[in-house]
Amino acid sequence: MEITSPAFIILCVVSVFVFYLVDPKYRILLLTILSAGFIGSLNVFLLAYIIAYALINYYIAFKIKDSHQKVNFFKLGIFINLIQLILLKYSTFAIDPIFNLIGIRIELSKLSEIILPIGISYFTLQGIGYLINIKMGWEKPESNFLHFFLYIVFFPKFLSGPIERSNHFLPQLRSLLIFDRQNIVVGFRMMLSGLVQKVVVANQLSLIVTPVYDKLNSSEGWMLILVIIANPLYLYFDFSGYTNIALGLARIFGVELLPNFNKPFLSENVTGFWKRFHMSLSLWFNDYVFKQASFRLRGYKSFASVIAVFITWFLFGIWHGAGWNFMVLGVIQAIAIIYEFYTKKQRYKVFSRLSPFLKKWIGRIITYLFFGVSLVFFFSTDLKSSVKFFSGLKSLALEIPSTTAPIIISDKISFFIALIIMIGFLFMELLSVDHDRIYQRIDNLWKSNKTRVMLLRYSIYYFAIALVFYFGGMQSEFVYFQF
Amino acid sequence: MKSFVIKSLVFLMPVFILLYPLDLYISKNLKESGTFVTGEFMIWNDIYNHKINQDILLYGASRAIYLNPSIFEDSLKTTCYNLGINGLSFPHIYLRHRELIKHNKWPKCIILSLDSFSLMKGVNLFNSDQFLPYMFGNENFRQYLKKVNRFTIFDYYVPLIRYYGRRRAIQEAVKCSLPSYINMPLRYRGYMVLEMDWTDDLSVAQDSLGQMQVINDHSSLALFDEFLKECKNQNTQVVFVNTPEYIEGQLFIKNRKEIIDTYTKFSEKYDILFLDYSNDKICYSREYFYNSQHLNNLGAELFNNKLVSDLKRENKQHKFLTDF
Repeated sequence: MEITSPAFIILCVVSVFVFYLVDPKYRILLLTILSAGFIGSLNVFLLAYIIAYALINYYIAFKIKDSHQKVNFFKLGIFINLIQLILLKYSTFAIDPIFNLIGIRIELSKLSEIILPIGISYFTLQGIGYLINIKMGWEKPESNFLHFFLYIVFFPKFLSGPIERSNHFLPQLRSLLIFDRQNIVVGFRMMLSGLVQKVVVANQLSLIVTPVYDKLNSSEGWMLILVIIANPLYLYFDFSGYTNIALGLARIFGVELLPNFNKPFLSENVTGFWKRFHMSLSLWFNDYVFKQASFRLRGYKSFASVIAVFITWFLFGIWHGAGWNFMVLGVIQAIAIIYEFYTKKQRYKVFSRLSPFLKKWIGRIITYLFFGVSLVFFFSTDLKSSVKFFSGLKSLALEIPSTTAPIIISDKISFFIALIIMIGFLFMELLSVDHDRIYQRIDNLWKSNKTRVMLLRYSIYYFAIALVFYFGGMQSEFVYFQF
Repeated sequence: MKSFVIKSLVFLMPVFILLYPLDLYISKNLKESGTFVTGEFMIWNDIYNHKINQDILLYGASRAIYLNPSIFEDSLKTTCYNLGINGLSFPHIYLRHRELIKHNKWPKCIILSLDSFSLMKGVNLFNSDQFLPYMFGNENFRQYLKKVNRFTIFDYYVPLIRYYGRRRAIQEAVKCSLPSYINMPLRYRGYMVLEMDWTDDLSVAQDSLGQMQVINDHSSLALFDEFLKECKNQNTQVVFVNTPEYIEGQLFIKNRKEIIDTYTKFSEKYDILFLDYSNDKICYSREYFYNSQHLNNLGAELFNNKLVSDLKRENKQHKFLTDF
């Protein structure tokens, strides 16, 4: 079921009513049943698999805490988590070719056709994070299996995150018994905002981006430049749209999930960008890979951080998928971050001559373009296609678009509406960072209870609902669903 | 909590109130469009307005819509209407048939155009917008469209929901409601002229698939059998026609012979005349086609005359069209 479909929205509204009508002590059970039902509707084998996965992690966590062989149990837990991820997600890329080479006629990739490993990259990181927390003594093992199972399967975040931390999620379940009107209002507002971002803006931007990657042979010059510029916006509105739907839905049920975005396009460098873009993932890698690697490699002194950055971003890249293009995606982020680290002083010297405004905007534009270029590796099906994309840039002649060109915007009015909405979103983000006083005034006005303001607010809600209704049915999957 | 629920309902009230009138507005105006979804609304309207009482009905998918009822009428001295439904497979043809007999009389003869994809498993619901103004609360639609993952139960029972994201349909409804709208129907008694140049559909398909294996759907086969049984019980004469298909297109379907054999078996079982034009000379000349599956205007004209004369000849010999 599409999470932007009316059926999903109607079922959510019904679930919310049921949730708050049942006795509070049964609410966690209800959420678990809803989540299990959601996963079961995707694939029954996946549900069975995930129950087994949760049971193993639940058991190992206790063993890590209580057993004399805590290190061995910890290693076993990490091994199980990684091996299941590799088997289900990377066998086509990493295992089957090796088997083929040594003459073993087993195709492990068939396994992923039975258990559709939807959401595996997300729940595996959550499982690993939980075990590390237990091992480090940052939290105690969760005694209630239902709570732990819900941490793994909670349906708003199951498909594409945010990647939750057990010590952030689990304590909230203990206070899930209170009805808070504000949670529901804020939750629905976030969902509505997410739906507008996805179905109005991202789906229209996908008309520029997706066809070009599908038809690289007939795309060149101006189209490729346009795609480089549109790449970040498309990914941002798509993923941020999904995240807001997930966060909003969770909030309605009284759960606050970790945020994923914080106005990323206002970052002035790549290092800062990754503290604002897909935050739940980048912070996970920072805490569980970078910091651990830096500590273990401390013997290498100043190189420790460099090696740790490379390891982190290499893994970050391949987390996205089994392909050389994803490795390159990660490695170029590492190169940029290391470059920024080592040239900090020089860059400060050069840029200090410029006005703060210019300095800020040059940084933002360079960061944006860097991200746009690196996303070519993200959206391409493989490294060969990425190379083909960049080779196409050689012919920069501004040809007039023909009818056979991949980018065809047939419904120009809808596209124009989407652009206006997109600019509106970005403008509000800009105000909140660069002109916070104006933003605060708008925000206070928005929250006011004056009749006129309320009417305006309600009109905006109705307009947003109408927009979602009008744009909604376009079948375009969320980009991050594939991971 | 009580006050919150009341406030929420008050907020949602305008949405609930508007659902039905908006649905009515869109559906009513959309039905007026003669060009949207290749003019299918004209046929659906004729069905619901009890206007299809002709003796011969032409059934089928896109390869039926270029069968010209006027040529049939002139030649066979009878009345004829084309119910070809663009781009869909047998369950959808059957859905139209069910709606037809609910509101009109049974025809004396059905000429059914069949192709390699008629009973195929997993056909996408092409042109699904054509069902929108008619499907609300209609059990037949729910039953025969359920295999297609395009509609949910809410689409049949909650007003307006089925128009969610159907931008083109909404735009067309608004356009039709304007006083300046001039309706120029694409279809004349279901027939449509296709003046198109050769497209590269086949080479695209060949590049990506090489050859295609068509797997028939068991439930479609059962439905097909049920339909033929019904026709026999109603004394409606059925004729199968496999209209010309460009030779390269024929070769693209790996198990084409097997599919044709299936139709032959049905024709033998129910004693149905099967006119198969797989080897007709039209199939060997690209100038008669706009893609591997479909005849262009020139090919359609040639074929219509050929089909009618074949029907006349067969009728003389076998008297299968008993009333003509």
